[in-house]
Amino acid sequence: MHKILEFQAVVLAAGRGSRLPDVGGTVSKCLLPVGPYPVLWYSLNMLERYGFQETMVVVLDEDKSNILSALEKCPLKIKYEPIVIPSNEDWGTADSLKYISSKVTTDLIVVSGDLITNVNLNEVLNLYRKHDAALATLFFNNGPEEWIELPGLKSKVKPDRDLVCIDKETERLVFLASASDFEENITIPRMLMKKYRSITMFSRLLDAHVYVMKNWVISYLVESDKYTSIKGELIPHIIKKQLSKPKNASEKKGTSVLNVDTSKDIFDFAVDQGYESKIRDMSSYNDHKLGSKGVYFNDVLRCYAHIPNKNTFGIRVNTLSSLYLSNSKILSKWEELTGTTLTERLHPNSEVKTKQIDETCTVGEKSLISEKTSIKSSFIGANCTIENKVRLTNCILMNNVTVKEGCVLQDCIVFTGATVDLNCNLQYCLIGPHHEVPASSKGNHQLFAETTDNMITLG
Amino acid sequence: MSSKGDGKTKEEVLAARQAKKQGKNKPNKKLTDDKKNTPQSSVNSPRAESLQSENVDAKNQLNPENTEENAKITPKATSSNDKLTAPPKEALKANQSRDEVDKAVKLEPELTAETSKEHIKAERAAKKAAKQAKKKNTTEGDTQNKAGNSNVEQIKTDAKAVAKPNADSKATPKNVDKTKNVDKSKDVGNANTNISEAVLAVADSPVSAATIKEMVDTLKDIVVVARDVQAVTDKVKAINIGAKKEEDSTKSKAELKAERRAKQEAQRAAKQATQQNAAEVKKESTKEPSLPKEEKSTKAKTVDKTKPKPQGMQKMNWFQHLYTEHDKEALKQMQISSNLHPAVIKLGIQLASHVVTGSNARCIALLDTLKKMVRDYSLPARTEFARGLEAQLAASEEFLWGMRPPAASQTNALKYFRHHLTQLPNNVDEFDAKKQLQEEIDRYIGEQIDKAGEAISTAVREKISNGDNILTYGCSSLIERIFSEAHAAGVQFRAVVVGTRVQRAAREMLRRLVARGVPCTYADISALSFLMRHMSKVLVGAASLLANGAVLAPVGSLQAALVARAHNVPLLVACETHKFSDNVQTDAFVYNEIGDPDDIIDKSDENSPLKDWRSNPNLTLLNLTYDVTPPSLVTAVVTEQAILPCTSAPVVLRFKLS
Repeated sequence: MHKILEFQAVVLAAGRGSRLPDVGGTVSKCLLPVGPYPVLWYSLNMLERYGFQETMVVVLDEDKSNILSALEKCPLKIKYEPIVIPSNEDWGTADSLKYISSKVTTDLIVVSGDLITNVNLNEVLNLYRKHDAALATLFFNNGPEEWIELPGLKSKVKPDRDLVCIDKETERLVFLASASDFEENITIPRMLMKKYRSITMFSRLLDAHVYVMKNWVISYLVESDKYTSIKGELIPHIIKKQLSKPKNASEKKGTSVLNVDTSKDIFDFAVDQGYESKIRDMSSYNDHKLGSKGVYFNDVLRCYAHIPNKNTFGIRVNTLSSLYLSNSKILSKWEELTGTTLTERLHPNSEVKTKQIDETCTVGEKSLISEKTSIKSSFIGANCTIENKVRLTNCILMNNVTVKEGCVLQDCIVFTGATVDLNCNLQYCLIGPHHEVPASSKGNHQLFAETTDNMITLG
Repeated sequence: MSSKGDGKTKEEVLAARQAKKQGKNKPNKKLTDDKKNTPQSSVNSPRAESLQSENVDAKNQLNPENTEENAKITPKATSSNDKLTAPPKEALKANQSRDEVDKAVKLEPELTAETSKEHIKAERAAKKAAKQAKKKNTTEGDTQNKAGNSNVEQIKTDAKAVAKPNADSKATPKNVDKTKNVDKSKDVGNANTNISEAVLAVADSPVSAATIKEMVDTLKDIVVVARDVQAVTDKVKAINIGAKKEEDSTKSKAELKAERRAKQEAQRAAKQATQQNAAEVKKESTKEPSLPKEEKSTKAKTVDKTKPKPQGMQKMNWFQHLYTEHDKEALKQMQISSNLHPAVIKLGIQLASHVVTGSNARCIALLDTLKKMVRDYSLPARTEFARGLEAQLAASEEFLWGMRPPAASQTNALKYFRHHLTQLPNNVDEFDAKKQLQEEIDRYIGEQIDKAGEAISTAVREKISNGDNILTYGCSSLIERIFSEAHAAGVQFRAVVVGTRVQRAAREMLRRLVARGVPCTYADISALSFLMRHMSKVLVGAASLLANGAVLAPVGSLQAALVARAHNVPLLVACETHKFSDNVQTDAFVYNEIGDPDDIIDKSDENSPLKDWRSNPNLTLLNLTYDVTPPSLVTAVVTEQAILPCTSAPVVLRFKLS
């Protein structure tokens, strides 16, 4: 029987990792390792856990083969269809959605490819279903970020913050803007104050980049053709439009999609398909207590935001700190995050000769770890070679890394294909892709990479 | 007397006996088992014998004693003063000693539990002795065990037999009393009667509680108590002797003869005590091998008992039958790739969260969902349209009703849809079938809800005269329509909306009426009797009209109906015929829907004592959704067909069927 899907899912994995430090060469963000698998796997696994059988994955042209080969090695049942977007044009997320619009027939869930969370997705979906919302989003209230000492150069990058206003009682999302848009004062529409008894403004919420949206939002996106970013432009626009009413409300009752005006506005898309408005009128439900307005203040568009409780784990691996943080936490939360047990910490095809490797380590396929090495809390990718008398503590080694004899690495991230020569002693260092660290070098908070401006190491 | 701790241990013994009997009934048991069983029974038999001998001894002892005391009184009538002072002491002693016996009774099982290993050793030793007397004892033990068990079973199975042990307990102390002398029997006998009364009280209390508890449990308790009674009466006899002995020794200066006899008795008592002790030791040893079994059985029982408790924490005991399996957690565990239509899932969530609530709204929402389902349905190859869709319909129905039990309007609408689905010709074209079904749905909404509402509205408008005060309870889309249309037609009246704190529906009703410009008053249900004297009519909506004419309506409606009757205010119920149900319900407890108990709590109040009610095991909140107003309180029902007495509901139902 032909199954009518309720939601289609799309995973956006074409990010370039612009918030990650420049380490020279290209690193595809969605392939950064978190624990034994690339970060993209966690998004796909989450969708799989909630019963999705297929999903679209938007990937960059240049990454496609890498991603596909990486995902093949991971345990996944979900069918993923790669959607390739050209890597030389700088497409925004909204552009990607526009690109796949022809394939979207139902309501859409947009998930970022760098999300690791144990949130119950059904809570977001039920919120969306319950109120017949145009849009439902997910924010994490993680509190202030834990301070950890990061490898690499010390930098003071301020994370971009969002200003989010939510009506606590109904979880309605009424205002969303980027904090960087404002200098000193923030202007909030007066309508908000009028409508809601109390709204809460958050500035430290982490946007999970999970958007559940109505099918018509995609049509509107295609039709209007003025948005490049979902997060930055489309979502704020829809949220803003909640406050306004359709221009000619009297005419629009019923199903008059026949407005062939040159400028179709968003309300022309948000049209009920059946008796929804009648049901709303008849049902004795109302989401607010006071005032003379009907349910939902008679709003046509309704956006909601779900904030799970504080002990929910949610992280987006888009910065160095989150990459480092997620790696340090992944194994302890493995089961609740992935719903499975991690059986093969050490890949069966790997060759681990040392006994001094503790429980919090993983080793990838075909990696060789020699005798007399000591490895603690480290993640080692595929095809790595660790020679004798090496000590690794809290390190992340990506694929094809070679660490030669006598090296001591502590709290380092070694990117793909890098080599660390004999007797190096490095702490809190980043080693760029395919870089060779000369023998006997010592470093603390340094970047070893072939970038143009970073060749001079700045202690 | 027999506290619950005692009761349990007795239950254990009982369970062990049953287990033994079962073991005996199985002839195919292993040899080792047989070996185990045989010593048990062998040791059992002496114990029982000793008990019997005890009884005999006690009786024998009592009689000579009494005679002796008779002798005391007759020669020394002058020393009656001494004796008069003595009896209270005796009584006290008797009481004390009774307590001691109680303690001993309590201690015994504890001891047995503690010293199980030692007794197992003792059992092994007993085995040797048992082997010798094997044949005899086994047969005896068997018969005795069987007899004991059969007694227990009789008591269990026959409720009448419950009286038996009581009667026995009455009889035995009385017999004891009779045998005693006049003076002593008054006082000591009082103590005895006290004991027996206490016994009776204990025996009676579970019987009186039996109305609430399940019959099986009470029967078990009674059996246990009966056994207690028997044991205690035995002990009491022994105690009396002991007490007398002591008391005699205190009075020994006065009566030398008595002292001598008392000494003799004391010796006898000592002998008996040793015998008894030996018997008890054996008794305990007999218990030991069966202990593991007991433990198992008690474990099983405790598990059974503890299981319903956590549910009882959240659920009202008397309303267990109303609770459904569905809970909030189930919503969070849903899988996305179900075969249900998305609209069905959405409706399920909306029903469960009460976003779509109210009889008419739920009906329309269901029909709207069905319409979408029909629209999107694609017929698999080589399947009849009706059959293919029916399968999906059944699954959707199950899901939706699981989310919230259906309203009468919903079941009727679904019945109507099914009817038309099955009426489709076999070779119908898919497109035509879809078109036809969707038209039927539209027609149903148009006729049964919209047009019916219009007809009712006009019918009620005629009943509203200028200057009327009309009271309504809760929120009903139909009442809202009646009021707003009557207002629009220029009738001058005031609507009085009554609601409760818990239900926000009434306030929503008020809001809507005010928005339409209807003059309104809002009052809490507590002001109902005050308001009612000024009312000219009460007009309420209904969730359903039952076949016996009773009105199923949101909880609180019955209260309004009762107050209206008390003030002789006519009660009109507005109800479209699509809400008529062929169910019959005489009260709201046989069937009802249980709402979220958290809704009762005032969440705006930070200091509400009910805030963490879940942590209080003695507190359960009950939030019933519906009320059943009996037909006697309803003046008339306004339907789209006519204004009818509510008892003519079956006529309307029959008429609708044809």
